Amino acid sequence: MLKVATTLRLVSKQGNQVRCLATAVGYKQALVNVPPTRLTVLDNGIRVASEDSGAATATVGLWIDAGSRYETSKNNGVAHFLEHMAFKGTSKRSQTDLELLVENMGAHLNAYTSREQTVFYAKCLANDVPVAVEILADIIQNSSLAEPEIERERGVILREMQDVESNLQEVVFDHLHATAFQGTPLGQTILGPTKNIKKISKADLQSYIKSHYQPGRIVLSGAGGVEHERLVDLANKHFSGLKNTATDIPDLAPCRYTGSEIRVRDDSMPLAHIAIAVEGAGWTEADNIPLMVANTLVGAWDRSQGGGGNNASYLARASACENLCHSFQSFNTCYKDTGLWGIYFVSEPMQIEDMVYNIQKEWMKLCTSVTEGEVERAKNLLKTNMLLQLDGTTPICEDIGRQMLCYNRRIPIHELDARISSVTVQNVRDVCYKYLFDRCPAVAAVGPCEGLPDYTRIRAGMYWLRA
Amino acid sequence: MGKHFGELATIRGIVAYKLSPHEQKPFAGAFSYGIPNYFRRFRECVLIVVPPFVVGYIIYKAVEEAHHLTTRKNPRDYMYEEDPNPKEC
Repeated sequence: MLKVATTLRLVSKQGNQVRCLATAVGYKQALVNVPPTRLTVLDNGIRVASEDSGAATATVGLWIDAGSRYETSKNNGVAHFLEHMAFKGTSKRSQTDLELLVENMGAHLNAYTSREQTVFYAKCLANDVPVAVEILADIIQNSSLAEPEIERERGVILREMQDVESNLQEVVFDHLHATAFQGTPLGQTILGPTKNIKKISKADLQSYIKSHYQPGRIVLSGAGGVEHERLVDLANKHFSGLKNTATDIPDLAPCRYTGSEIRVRDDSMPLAHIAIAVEGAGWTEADNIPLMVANTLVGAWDRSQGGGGNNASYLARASACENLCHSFQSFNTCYKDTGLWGIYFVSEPMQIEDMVYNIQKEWMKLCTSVTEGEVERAKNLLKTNMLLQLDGTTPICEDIGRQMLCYNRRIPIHELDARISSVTVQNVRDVCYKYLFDRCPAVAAVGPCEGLPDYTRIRAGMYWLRA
Repeated sequence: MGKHFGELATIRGIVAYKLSPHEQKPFAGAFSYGIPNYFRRFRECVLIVVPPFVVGYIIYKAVEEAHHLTTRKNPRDYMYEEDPNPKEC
């Protein structure tokens, strides 16, 4: 069937266009036919944003403009420590009460910290939203921060650190940030160094809460069966106690990118884990979308995927046919004013050099001679991935919260779709030329990385004297 | 045939850092530090380097002179010499 269809498509160009149009209308309607995201700013500055899909379940969460980037080398790790302390009881209820309450509702209470955001969210039935909001308000305002809990949590965090260290991808990305943003807060890890974890005190935690959990930096986001008016009422009820104090919004210094490398050589490991990146664009920059398209174009691949020589991505084809790596993954990590755009791969020691050569060849192709077909394919893939991600209340809630902090508005899906659609081949070439061509990469390698070419040779691969 | 990069040595636990050459100033301190440094380096080794050359040159000069003197003909032997092929006027 598939074969016949392909041939038919090749033969009847006319019919194909008609079919495309028919599906395109349905797709466009589907994009527009999404409940709107409504935003209300409370008197004290908390932004309440929600998308009411009328579902039976809901996710509500607090997105806070705080993370390891807002820390200094002295208190690095505080944001993450606080995330741990949040569920350890408040002045109103003990840890057991809190856990029982959540368990009895059948809700999920979760939290995570990234470099720029701290997030607390709850997944529950639509009816339980009031209780969930009350709990969230309680844990960020009245956390008890009892000394014995703090002591216990040190051990937990140190064990979590061991866990992170056994995940080589995380290790490589931490090294990549440490070298690319050396000397700036973005280079710090989220967990913080062992030294800090061992000495963070109650006073540190309290002063961090005071300076960073300001209502102006908090977004209450909801998705699923959440009525906006009711959410605003709940927020007014539970968050009106939060005040913007004098120590307002700490300045966010720009983090300078430095082309550099770090190699953690360990020949006892079987595979080398390597990340190569250049400085990318921040969330709000217009160049971000072409960079996302370019990132999708390079794609991701690992050995468990079939396809071999039939993969669409050139790099995947090269990897599969010539056995260059075990997996690779192109990434575009964005922050407020900067980002990292690059690739992470896992490779056998003797294949590294060929892999790096192929990566750079592909990158230079992106800058100079990427074709329309490739870009169209990447755009479609990007749109599909974008829509696939927004499947469920939690991802939507996450999307709202993140976008509120990054853009101060929620970008409607149809707008994002239009933005991606308007990217042209020349856009991709120009933007890649700007960010990739003749730029100093940041390289982080862990494992048997003798085969990784010298930094100056990798740097020399960042331009072509032809084309 | 032979060994390649990737299998030359077995090394563990060495962490290497490198900064892009473009992040560095190639002529950092060339005037403020570099030029005065030339004088310092000259001053520090001039008394070690130059004297052997001076001594060597003196010896060379003396030996050359002595040699020249030993190999030349005695001018007294030709005091009364007559030209065997006088030029015709």
